[in-house]
Amino acid sequence: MRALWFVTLVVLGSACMSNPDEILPIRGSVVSNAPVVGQPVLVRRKIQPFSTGSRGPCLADQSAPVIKETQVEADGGYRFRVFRAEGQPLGTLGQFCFRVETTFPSGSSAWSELSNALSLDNPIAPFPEWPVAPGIDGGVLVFEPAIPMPPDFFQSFTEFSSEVQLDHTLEFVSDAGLIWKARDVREEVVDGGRFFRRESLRLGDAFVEDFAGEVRLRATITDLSLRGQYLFYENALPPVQVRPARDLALQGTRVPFTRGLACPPFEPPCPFTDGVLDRVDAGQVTRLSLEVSPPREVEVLVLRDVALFGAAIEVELALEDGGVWSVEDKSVGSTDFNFEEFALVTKPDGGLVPLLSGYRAIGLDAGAPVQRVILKFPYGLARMRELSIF
Amino acid sequence: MALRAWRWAWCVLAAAGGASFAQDAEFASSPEFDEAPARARLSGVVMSKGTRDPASLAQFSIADGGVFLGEADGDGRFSFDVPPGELTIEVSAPAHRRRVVHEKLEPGQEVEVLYRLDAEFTRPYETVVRGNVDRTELARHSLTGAEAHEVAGTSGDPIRTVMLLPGVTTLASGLSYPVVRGSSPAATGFYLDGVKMPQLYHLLALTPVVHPNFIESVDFFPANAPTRFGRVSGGVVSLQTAKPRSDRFHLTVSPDLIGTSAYAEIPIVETGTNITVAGTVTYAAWVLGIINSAVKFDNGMIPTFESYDYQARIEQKVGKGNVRLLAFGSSDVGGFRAPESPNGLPNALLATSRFHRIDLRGQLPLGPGVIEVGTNVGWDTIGLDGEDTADRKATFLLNRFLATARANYRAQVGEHFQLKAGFDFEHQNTSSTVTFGIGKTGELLRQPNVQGRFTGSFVEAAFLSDKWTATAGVRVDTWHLAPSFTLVSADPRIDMRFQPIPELTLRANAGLAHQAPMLLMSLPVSDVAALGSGLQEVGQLGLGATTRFEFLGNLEASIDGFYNHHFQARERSLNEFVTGVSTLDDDYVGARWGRSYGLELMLRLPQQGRFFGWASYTLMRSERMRRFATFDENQFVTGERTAMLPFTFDQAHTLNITAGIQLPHQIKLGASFHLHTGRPESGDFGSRTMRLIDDGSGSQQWQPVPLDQVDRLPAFVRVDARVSKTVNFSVLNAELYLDVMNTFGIPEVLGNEYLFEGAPGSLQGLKRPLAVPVVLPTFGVKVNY
Repeated sequence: MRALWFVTLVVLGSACMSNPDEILPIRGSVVSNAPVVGQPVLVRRKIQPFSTGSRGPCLADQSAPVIKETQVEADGGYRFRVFRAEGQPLGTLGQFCFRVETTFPSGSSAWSELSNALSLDNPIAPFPEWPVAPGIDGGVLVFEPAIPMPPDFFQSFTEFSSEVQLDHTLEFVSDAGLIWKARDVREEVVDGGRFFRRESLRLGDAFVEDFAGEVRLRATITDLSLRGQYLFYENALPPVQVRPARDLALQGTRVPFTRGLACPPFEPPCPFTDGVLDRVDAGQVTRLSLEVSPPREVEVLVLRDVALFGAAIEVELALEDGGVWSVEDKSVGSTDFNFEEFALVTKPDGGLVPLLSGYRAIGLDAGAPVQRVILKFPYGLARMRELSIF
Repeated sequence: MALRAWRWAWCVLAAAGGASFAQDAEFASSPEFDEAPARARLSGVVMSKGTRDPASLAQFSIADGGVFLGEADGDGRFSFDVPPGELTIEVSAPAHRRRVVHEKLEPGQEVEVLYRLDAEFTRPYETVVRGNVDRTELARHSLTGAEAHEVAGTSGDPIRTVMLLPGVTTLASGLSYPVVRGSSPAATGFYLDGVKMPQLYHLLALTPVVHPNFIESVDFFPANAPTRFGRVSGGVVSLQTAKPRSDRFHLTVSPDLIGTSAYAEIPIVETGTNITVAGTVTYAAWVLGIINSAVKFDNGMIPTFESYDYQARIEQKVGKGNVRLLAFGSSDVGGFRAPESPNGLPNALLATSRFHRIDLRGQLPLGPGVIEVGTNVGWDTIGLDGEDTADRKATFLLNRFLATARANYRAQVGEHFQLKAGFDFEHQNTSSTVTFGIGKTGELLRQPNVQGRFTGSFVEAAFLSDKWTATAGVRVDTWHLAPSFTLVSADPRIDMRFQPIPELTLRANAGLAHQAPMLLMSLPVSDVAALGSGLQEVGQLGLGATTRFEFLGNLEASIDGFYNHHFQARERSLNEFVTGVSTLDDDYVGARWGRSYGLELMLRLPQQGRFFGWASYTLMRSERMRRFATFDENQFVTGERTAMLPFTFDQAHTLNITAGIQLPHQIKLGASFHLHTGRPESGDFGSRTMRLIDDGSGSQQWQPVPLDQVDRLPAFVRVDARVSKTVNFSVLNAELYLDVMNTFGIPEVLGNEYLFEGAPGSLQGLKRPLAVPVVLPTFGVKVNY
C-alpha cells in the first residue's frame, strides 16, 4: 500500500514540479491625464552571480537587458507573460531580479524593481506620470509632489500608520559621480528609537559647491493598501519610483575655504579637500583635523559619500578664544546600509556596528571664529570622497 | 488379471451352481422353496464436497470389480436394489475422486444416504455464453469467469484485467487507470450495469470499490462504443453485475488482515425477487496501530485509514417486465494524525473520498420491443482536510451532486432489422470548498458552485443477417452550464462486421465522440467547470479481423488497426487545476489537436477445460500539438514553438501474456508477463528531463530542457503470479489464494532525480532513477457457502 501511495504521489506531485513553460504574469497599470494606450512597458532582467562577490539585493538598472516588451491597453493596464524559464533560476547560479519600467511622452518615467525571482503572480503598483520640472528657490528644491502628499508625520516607526508612503530623493550628479544626495524624509535615532520627519530638500550653494551637473529628482511611492495574493500567502507590492519630465542643470560657484587644506593624519595633499570626487580609503581612522588659518567663523560641514562604522560623527571646534564647541551628529539622513562593502566592527561592549554610507551636512554654529576643526569617528572612517566646510 | 480370472471362474461356478441349484430346485421345487431372497434398497444423493452441487451421473458398483449397481441422475439422485449384508461400494463421478463407502443393510431394509465426493479440479473453465446478447453491442473484448477474476497480478479485480488487453496502457504499474489507444485515463468511461462509476478504487489507488464477485463480466469497447454510451471520448468498460443463481442462497466471505468483504446471492423464488449484496469493511486501524508502535513517525504522527464500500442489486419481476434497484458506494478517510498541533499547524492531514449512487430501472415489453426507463442520484466528494483539536483549519474538497433520468426503446423489426432510440437527462451541481483559515473560524477563499445540465438523444438502426451485422447510429448531446452557456455535439457512429465463414470475422467501424474537458482522471468539478473551453472531439476509425483455429482448440487470432484523430484535444493540466498556474501550452488548449494510431494483435485461447490465456501486443503512437518556449542555457527565451510531440502517456510497445491452469487437488496456477516501453519524461507526470549546463563559474547545474528535447523513461517488465488451493468441507469450501503483482519486485522508473555527488570542488552531476518496486501481494481466503 505504501508503494502504491508513492506512485500516486509521484504521479500527482508533478503538479509541484517546476515547468519552464509556466507563465508567471507581471501585471500593472499606468496612470496619466493623457491617453496612454500603446505606451511601451518593458521588463529588464539581471542575473547577479553569487560567485562574483556581489552582495546585497539584486537590482536591475537600465543597463540590464530587456526580456519582454508590451504596450498599455485601453483600460490603462498592461500584462506580461513571463515564462518560468526566464523568471526563476532553473539551474543558473545567480540571483534573478527584474525592473518593470515605462516612459511617458512627456519624458517622465516610472519603474518598479523586483529584487527576487518572479513568483506565481506579480502585481505591480500603478505607474503615475510626473510631468513636472523642479526648480530651486532660496536653496530649496521646489516641485509638485509625484502624488498628493500624504499627511505629515513625526512619529515613531512602530506607530507609523499612513498607508501611502512617499519620499523624494534628490541627486546632484556630475561626470565625476554623485555629488550630493538628500531625501525629504529624515530618519533619526533618538534614545534607541527610530523617528521620521519630513523636511525640505535643501540644495544650497554649500551642497552644490563649485561643481556642475544635473539635479535629478526621484519619488518613491509605497502603497501599503495594495497587496499581492496567491493561494494563502500575500505580500506587499514593491515600491514604484518615478522621475519627472526634466532634470535641472546646475553650476555651482562657491568654493569651501577648506579646499586644499591638509587633514592629518593623511599626508598632504589631503585627498578629502582636493575638490576631486574620488573615493579614498580612509583606513578606519577615528580622527581628522583641519587647521583653519586664519581663524574664521564656520557655517556647515558637508561630507560627500562618507562611509563610516556607526552613524555618529562628533565635530569639535577649537575656537580662537580658546573655547571648544562640539556637536555630535547621529542623523542617518541619506545614509544607507552599505551592501557593497558589507562590514561590521565590534564595539568595546561587544555589540556590532555596521558600515553606513551617505551624504551628511552638519550645521556648525559656534558663534565665534574657529581655528581648528576636529572630526571624530568613534568606530572608524572607512571611506570618503570629499569634505567641505563653509 | 488374476482377480478377473478368479471372478470369471466364480461366475462360471456360480452359474453352474445356479444351474445345478435350479435343476435341483426343479426337482426339489415346492412352494416352501420357491421364495427369492429379500433385497435391500439403497437411495440417496451424491454431492460435490465443499459445495451444494450434485455430482451428476455418479456411478456405483460393488468394490473390487463387483456388480455395477447403477448411476445417479443429473441431480445426483440415485436409488437401486442391493444385496443385503455388508457392502463395499465404489462411487465415482466425472471430475471427482473415487470414493469407497461401507454400508450394512438388512434384508428388506431401505437406507437413505448422502455421499460427498472430492472434486478433482475446481469447476472447469468454460466460456459463458450469455443469453440474449445484443449482436449490435458486441464488445471488442469480453471477459467472464476466470478471465475476469483469476488473472495473475490482478487480485481478482476485473478492472485490473482490462489493463492486459490490447490497446491499453497504464499510468504506472499498480495504478489501474487505463490509457486506451493513447487517450487520457479520464476519457475512458466505466459503467456498472449502465450506471457511470465516478471512482474505481478506494482513495483513487487502493482496493476496488466494487466487490469482484459482484461483477460477472466485463465488456471492453476501445472505441466506437454503442450510442447509448455518451459524453465519453475514449474507451468504454461496461461491467455487468452478477445475476444471482436461482437455486439457493450463496455466500462468500473473504477476511484478511485489514478488512473483510462479503458477497451474497439471495433468490426469493416465491416472489420472483433476486437480491445480490456485497461490501467491504476495513478495520486497518488496529494494524496501523501495530505498525505505529514499531515504526516511529516524525512528530508522533499516527497513520489512520477507515474505509467501507457497499453494493446491492435487487431485481423484481413485475408482470411481464422487471424492476431493478442498484445501489453502490464507498467512503474512505486516510492520512496522519499527531497528538498535538505544533506551531499552530493542523495536527491531522486526512485525504477523503466518497461517493454514493442509487439507480432505479424498469424494463417492460412494449409492442415489438422493450422499453427501459430509469433514474439515478449520486453524491461525490474528494479532497483533503487539515484538522486540529479545535476546528478544521484547511479544507480542499470537490463536491458533486447529480440526478439523471433516462428512457430507451429497442425493437426488432422483421427478421433482419433492429431499431433503438433513447434519451437521457443529467443535472449536476458541483462545488469546490477551499478554506484556509486564520484562527478558528477564518476563511480566505471559497469557490463558487457550478451547475450543469446535460442531455443525450440517440437513434440507431441495425441490419443483421447470418454473415452481416451493420449498425449505424447518431447521438446528439447538449451541454449546458448555468446560466446561459450551451454546447451541442453530434456523434455519428457506424459499425460493420462480416463473417464470410464461421471462422473469420472482418470488422470496420468509424465514429465521432465528444467529452467535456478532462484532467488526468475524472474528478468532481474538473470537467463541468471547464466547459467554457470547448469539448474534446475525437474521430475514431478502426479496421480488424479475427480468425479462429478449431484444430488448435479454437485459438483466436485477431488484428486491429486504429486511427483516432483528436480534432479538439481538451486535456487539461492537473498542475493548472491544482495551483492555478497555467503554461504556454495550457493557454493553447483551445486550439490543441492530436492523433493516435496503431496496431493491436491478440492470440486468445477461450476458457475451456483446465486452461485459459491470451497474449496481446500493441504498437502505438499518440501525439498532440503542443506549444512551448525554447530557451538557451542562460535562460533567455529564444522563441515560442508549436510542434507535434508525443502525448504524456505515449508508450510505443506494450506486451501482455497471461495464462491460468488448473492442476489436480484443486490447485490453480496463473502467471502474467507485462512489458511496456517508456513514456516521455515531459514533466506533465513526474520529472522533466534536465541537462547539465556550465553556470559560468566553473560549476555545473541541472536545468530543465525545452519540451521538444525531453527523453523517454526506460522500459519496464513485470511478472505476476497467482496460486490458489481450494479446501472442501461439507457444505462449504475455502479457497486460499496468493496473488502477487510484480513477483520479482522490479522497480518501474517513474521519473528521475537530478543531483550532484562528490567532494566540494569536484561535484559530478548524477541522474538517479526515481523508482520503487511496486509489489502488490494479496493473500486471502474466500469461504464459499
